[in-house]
Amino acid sequence: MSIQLGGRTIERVWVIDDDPEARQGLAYAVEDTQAEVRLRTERISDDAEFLRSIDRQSDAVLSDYHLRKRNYSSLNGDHLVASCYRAGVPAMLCTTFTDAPLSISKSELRYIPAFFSTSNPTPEQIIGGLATCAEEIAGNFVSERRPWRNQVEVVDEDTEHDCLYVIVPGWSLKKKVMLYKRDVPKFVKYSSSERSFYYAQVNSGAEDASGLYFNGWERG
Amino acid sequence: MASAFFHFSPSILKRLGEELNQGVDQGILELVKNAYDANATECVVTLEETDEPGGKISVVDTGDGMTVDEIKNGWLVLGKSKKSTSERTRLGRIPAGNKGLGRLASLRLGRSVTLSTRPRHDQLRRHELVVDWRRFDAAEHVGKVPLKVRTFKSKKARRSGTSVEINDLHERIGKAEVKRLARALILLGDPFRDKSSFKPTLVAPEYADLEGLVQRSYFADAEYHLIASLDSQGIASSKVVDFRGKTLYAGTHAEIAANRKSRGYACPAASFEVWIFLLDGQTFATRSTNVGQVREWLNEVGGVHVFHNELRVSPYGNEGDDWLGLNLRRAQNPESRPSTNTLIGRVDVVDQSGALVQKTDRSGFIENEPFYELHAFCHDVMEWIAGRRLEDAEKKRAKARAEAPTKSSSAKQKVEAAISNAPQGAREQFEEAFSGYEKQRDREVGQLQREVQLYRTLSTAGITAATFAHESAGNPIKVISQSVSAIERRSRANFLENYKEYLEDPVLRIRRAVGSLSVLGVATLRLIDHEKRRRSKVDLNGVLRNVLKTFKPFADGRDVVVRASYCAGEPYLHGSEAAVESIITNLVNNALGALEDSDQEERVLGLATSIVDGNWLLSVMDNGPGIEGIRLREIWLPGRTTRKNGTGLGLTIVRDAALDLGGTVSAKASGPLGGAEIIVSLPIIE
Repeated sequence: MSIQLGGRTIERVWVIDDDPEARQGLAYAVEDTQAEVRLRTERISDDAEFLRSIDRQSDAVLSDYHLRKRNYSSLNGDHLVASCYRAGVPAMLCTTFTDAPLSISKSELRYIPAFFSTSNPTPEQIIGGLATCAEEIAGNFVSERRPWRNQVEVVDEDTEHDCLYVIVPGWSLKKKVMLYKRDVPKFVKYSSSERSFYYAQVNSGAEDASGLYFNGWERG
Repeated sequence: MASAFFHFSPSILKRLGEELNQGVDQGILELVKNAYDANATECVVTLEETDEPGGKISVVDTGDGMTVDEIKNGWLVLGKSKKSTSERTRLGRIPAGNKGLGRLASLRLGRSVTLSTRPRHDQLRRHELVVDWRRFDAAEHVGKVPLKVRTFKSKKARRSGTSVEINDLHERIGKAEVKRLARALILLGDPFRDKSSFKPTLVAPEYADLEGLVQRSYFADAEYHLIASLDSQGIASSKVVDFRGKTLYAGTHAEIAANRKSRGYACPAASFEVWIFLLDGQTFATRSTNVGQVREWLNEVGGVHVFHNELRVSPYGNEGDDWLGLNLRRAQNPESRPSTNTLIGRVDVVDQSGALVQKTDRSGFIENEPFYELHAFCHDVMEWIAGRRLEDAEKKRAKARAEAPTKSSSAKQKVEAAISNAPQGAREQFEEAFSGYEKQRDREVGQLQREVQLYRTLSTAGITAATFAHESAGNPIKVISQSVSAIERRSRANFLENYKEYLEDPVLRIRRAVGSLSVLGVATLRLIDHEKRRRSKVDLNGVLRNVLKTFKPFADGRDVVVRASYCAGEPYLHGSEAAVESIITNLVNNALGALEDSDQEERVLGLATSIVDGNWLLSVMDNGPGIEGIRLREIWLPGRTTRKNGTGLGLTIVRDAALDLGGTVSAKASGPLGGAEIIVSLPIIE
């Protein structure tokens, strides 16, 4: 039993969730994709350890966003999925609709192409999501995800919540996008006395601000 | 093989001179810093006839002077610093270490420059060099213009030192520039510190006035004096003393660096002092100085200045500079935070390793890791003191609350005593009037106490609801949803037609129930999104659409048909999205509640927006029983409700939020759909 994703054969799909009931719930959908399900029941100490425990050639990963409510993992699903992507392993992130996509790091989002705002993906969504990820790892981006070097202006800040507001003219001249300061390099700052321009890799084909990612920042 | 060399066109001098010139003040400061590096204790800057082009600037110091070799291989070499921060000068100073480019910028201010210098080790000789820039302009390249150092010998040894005269200035120096220069010179060597061994001065009337103002010291009038330090291991400590010198708070590294898990600051050792003033008449009522004097002084020297190896670094602490972001934080919380107008501070960094590097154009430090870490230290210290002051303010509030009944009772006794002294006839009238007043006041206090308690109860319920919402949406609902999907998928595949007959309906019902449950969580969690509480442009129709989208499964679950019509365009206002959302959410909640009591065949919730006279009108109506059992004007009062288990706060919040946004509310007991109609009017920006 296996599934074909963008020219590679996936034998097993790892299901990651800190709640055993929800883990099994996700597994039902994976079973129906015809791939072999592997439930990760042991604690994940870090992403490197997790990557060593799987077969990078023929495994894929399906992870819930919250992994730290119980003592199950040292990192949340977004970081785990992004690490898998960087290691060339197709991975998909699932989360409930109550988790605002904003809570996911805008720089990590660059490595999370298959992000579903649902805790209940169908087998078709799982195959589609993992295929999108596999294609992107191979360098084939869909237009909403392709990174472009964009000018970014920091137009405001909210010191109480430690975030910046930016405008990406290549995406929208009007809409402000919120970025947490922890997700941008320290040199990216707001100035009340002069306009602050930078460059960053942004998927300016994204339809919605929640799907935008920012990384590869440069001084303007 | 032929040898070849780079040559520089004379225009490079012009370009460097112009492009690196941050202003006359910064250029001259570079010459003054040379004097500091040369161990001068005094340095006099004189401006002669500079209010017109053609004037002269001279900078004369009492330093170690230069030999011919030092002129040739040091002063005349541009772009290379011979100064090493790891070697101290004869007076133990760490060289300011410029690259000579700032000096070039200032020298280019005039058409010619005369350098005259007498070395400390040969005080019988004076060396002179004249640079006529016009000769460079005509030359093929820079190296083609020979420069001569002439030496004059005197019979008697004279004091060592250097003078630089910049002659025939291209431009006039305006009053504002002179004032900037005066301020920069006064602040350069930290005039607030007793031990400063370097005193630059400017011969200009503006200087004397300003110097007088700056040196008027009001430090003793500061309400708080913050003293923080960072040791060579990056460990911070701080304390705050009041104007009497009493220690108010002391902070350890763990408390200051709490947000970085107590990690040390990776920057050179530093000290950070801030004097914070409370600029109000009450604070200064018993002081010998007046608040106006302090305000004027702070206006000139306020802000947080940075001294790097004893010399001030511009632009930190300049007028308009707020490198620690103090003003924005004060705007968000004025009670416990100072602004650049209400404090003066200095950061002293002894940086022998050269970790902090000034930009070539002298516009501050290069923003490298040590600079960010120094910034983080200062920022964290300011956060620490703000936290301590906020705690104090809370304690004072709690104390005032506790003392209020006693004070009130004492005031009452005084009034009663005064009444008892009144003449017999009037006394009874006073007593009756006061008794009436007292009863009314007690009623008002009682009402306010009930309202406060109600809000507290509701806040607690809200916090608990948010926690439960997150938990239920995160796990149990998820598991139900996943499992029912698996049942549906597998049953369809295995039972084929039987699925439709036996399972489809119950599965659909579970799905609907899960949808209704989920919406409660979503609605709760979306309301507490902090971004919505921020003041910004709020798209009114957009907020309504989002709320209705959120409530759709909930309305579906109650068989309520939602009919919404929107006015054209995108009307908006400046306010918080949370305020608008709370208006709409409460009205929708109320209507859905009212429809529970409806026996209509079809339950309808209608929402319509329109623009009337520059206002966005939202009408929320239903075909429920309408407003009954309560007077119409009382529906807005807190705690008044006709619904069992209702809080009676929904419409109060709607009214208060609408008023806060500059709007109004009104209600009809029986509206167009037969049930209640609530109309909210909010002024929009056209």
